[in-house]
Order: sequence, then C-alpha cells, then structure tokens
Amino acid sequence: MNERAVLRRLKDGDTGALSEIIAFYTPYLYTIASNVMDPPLSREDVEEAVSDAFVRLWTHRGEVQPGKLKPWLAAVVRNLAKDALRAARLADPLDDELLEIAAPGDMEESVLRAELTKLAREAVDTLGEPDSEIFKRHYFLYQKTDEIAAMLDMNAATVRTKLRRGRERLRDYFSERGYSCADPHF
Amino acid sequence: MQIRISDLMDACCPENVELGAENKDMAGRINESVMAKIGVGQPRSKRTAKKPLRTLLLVAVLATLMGSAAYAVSGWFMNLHKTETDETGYWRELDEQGKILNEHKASFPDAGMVLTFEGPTERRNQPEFRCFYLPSEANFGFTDEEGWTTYLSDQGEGSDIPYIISAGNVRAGNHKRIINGEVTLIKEEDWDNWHVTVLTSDYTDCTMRWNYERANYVLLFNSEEGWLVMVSGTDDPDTLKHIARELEIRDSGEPAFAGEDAAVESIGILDPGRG
Repeated sequence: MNERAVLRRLKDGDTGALSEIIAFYTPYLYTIASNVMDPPLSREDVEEAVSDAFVRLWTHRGEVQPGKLKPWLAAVVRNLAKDALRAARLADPLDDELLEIAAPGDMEESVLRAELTKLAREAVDTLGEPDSEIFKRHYFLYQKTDEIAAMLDMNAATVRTKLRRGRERLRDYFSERGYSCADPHF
Repeated sequence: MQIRISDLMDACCPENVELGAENKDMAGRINESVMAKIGVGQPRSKRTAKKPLRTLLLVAVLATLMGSAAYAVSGWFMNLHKTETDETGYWRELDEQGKILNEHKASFPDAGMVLTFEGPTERRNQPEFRCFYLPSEANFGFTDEEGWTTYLSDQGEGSDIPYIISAGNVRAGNHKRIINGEVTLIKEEDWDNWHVTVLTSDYTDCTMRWNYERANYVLLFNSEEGWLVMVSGTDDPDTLKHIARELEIRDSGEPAFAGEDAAVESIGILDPGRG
C-alpha cells in the first residue's frame, strides 16, 4: 500500500482509500485490541473497537502524516479498547503497573502527562535492542511475556527480567529529571 | 498523579512489529460497519427523537466594551469582547417559526464576555455532531440511531453540570452572545477548519449565581460555514477539550433557525434561569 497516496486520497474524502486501509490494517488492529481486551469481552466488542478506530481516522483524516498511519491507528485502537474495558468495569491486564508521579513544580495534569509520555519514549529508546522492543511489545501492544519470549526466541524469565530493568530505567529517567516516582512493584 | 506505565506508552508503538493474519471476512465486516457509521451508502436515517427547541433570545443594549480579540479567516468573523459593566435589555422567547412567545425585560449585571459575529446573512444549514468520547453518560438530549444530534448533556447531580455540547449557526448583525462571570481566555488554537477558543469563567463575584464557582468553555468556530459548536461545563478544560477533539461535525441538511437581528443570547451555562 502506498501510504502517501492513500492518505492523500483519504484526505480528499475518498472512501475507497478508507476501505483499502481497513483491508490492510484490520488484522493488526484486531490483534492489538484483543490483547488489551484480554480476556476479550467478545469478538463483536473487539471488532467494534477496531471499526471505531477507522471511523476516527475518517474524522481526523487531515491530521495523519504519511509514515505515521500505523502508529496512529495503533494508538487509537489501543485507547478505544482500554475505554471499552473501563466501560465494562473490567480490569486492565496491566493494572498492577501503577506509578505515583509528582512533578517538580506546579504543572497542569495534561501538561504533566504529555511531558511524561515524551520522557517515557526517550527512556525506552535508551534501553537498546532487544530490550526496547520487549518493553514496547508488553506495554504498548499488551503482549504477554510468554508470547514475547516465543516471538523473540527467548526464555520467558529473561523477558520478565528485561521488563523489570525497563521499569527501573523508566523510574530512574523520571527521577533524574526531577519527577519523583514511586511504585511498590519496583 | 497516579498513572499506569501503559498509559505513558502512547508514543511507543513498535512500528517494525507485524501482527495478525489476513482475514477478508473480518475486514469485510469492519468495512461495512465503518461505512455505515460514516453514512456512506446509507439513506439518511430519521431521528427517533429530538429535543424540543426552546431558544431564549435576549435582546440587550450593550454598553462599554473593554478589551477585544478577533478571529477571522473567510466568510465569517467572530469577535470576543470583555466587558466589566452591567448590561441591560430584554429577552424574547421564540418558537421555531420566529413567533414571539414571550418577552420580558432582562439585565446582565454579571456579563463578562460578549461574542459578536460578522458575515453573510443568507440562511444556512445547521451543523450536527456525534461524540466519540464522553467522560460520563449523557442524560439530556436525544440522538438519532447513528448518534447525530445538535445538543447533548450530562446535567449531573448536585451542583455540577459536567458538560453541555451544542451546535448551531452564528448570526451576523447585532446578534450577541454573553458569558457571565469573570471570563479569562485560556488558549486559542486551530484544528483544521475550526478555530478553538478555551475560556474559563469565575462566578465568585457574580451578583446572580447559584452555588457554582466556575464554568469552562471550549468554543469551536468554523469561519467558512458560520458554525459555532460549544462544549461547556463544570468539567475541567482538558476534559472538555477531549470531548471537543472527539466530535464529528457535519452539515445536518436542515436549515438553521433564522431568529432575529439585534438579538442577544446568554450562553452562560451556570446562569440562574438557564434552559
């Protein structure tokens, strides 16, 4: 799929372009939504989250930059799936990974969150490979440690160790920049 | 602030990772669902219910205006004026045909900001919207089967009105809209064809008020269509912006209510006597 061309057609309101994107990205988005909604609410619920992600793409079709379609869709479907979990009052599969973070000064919550998201990306990128990919697979794609181990031909214990080191790196990265960060699991 | 690690990972998509196997049946189902949701190949559905239109038009003589900010691109102009003086006038209650149902004198001792508009005078179609994010369930306003509406709100409990979302056409001439309280401009930005103005209104010193402290407003103004979509409420500005971000807005195909020139409408959500 020529992403630049299909996004240009999409921006012009071509629903055929949207159908092409749906055909191409449905398996990818369905897998992410299934991972987040684990155990899945139902196949219909997962498909609902996926279709809503494409509706948002249509609504925001002027905002997606060429080369960024995949991560944009992935982030949207991931958040829609998490919203569906919350609406159904089901626990997030990664619900134990709660951090208590305090900013060095007064900072609006939305600003703090945006800043922490930026720092988290920087911190994860410093992990190097394969640790960075493992961390992203677990915390972004919601893949289980066993699944990651199988995909990367590793021992599951090794994956868990790398995830723990990633969390430590994240905490240190925040602390070094003046954000106090507490987590009983560290 | 408490936050999960996964909630900080929005920007950490491992782009080289491929997932899932081709599934034409599923892709077909989802394509059908998406096309239905965006209204492609579907006859426009009739509304199942609709909020009765009850518009309060307040005609006022506005005195000294202090401070002025203006936004304009093409077609329509929106001006925001701060005011610190009492405003007086009278209000008219109109039906959909513009017939005067009721008329009373009114005063605006707490007017904090006035919105005025310039632009074409021809009748235009009304906008409608549907929501893809709401922080709490709406309990007032009706949508059609696809979620389209012109008004939706969570009226809340106790002293909170979490959010009110409304969409309508602006009118040129002397039509003015008032927000009461000490109004502060938080931010202005552009989202595609929409100019976004975020305001907050402090009711502390208002002479006419309930037990509310503050209301927030996210105004989405489309200068090409002359549309104003307002997301307001006691929810914080970030939450209201989130709602606004996730709105899909389109031409409803229905002509806008013409109303009258020389009208002033209070859009302050916390004013005594609202709605």
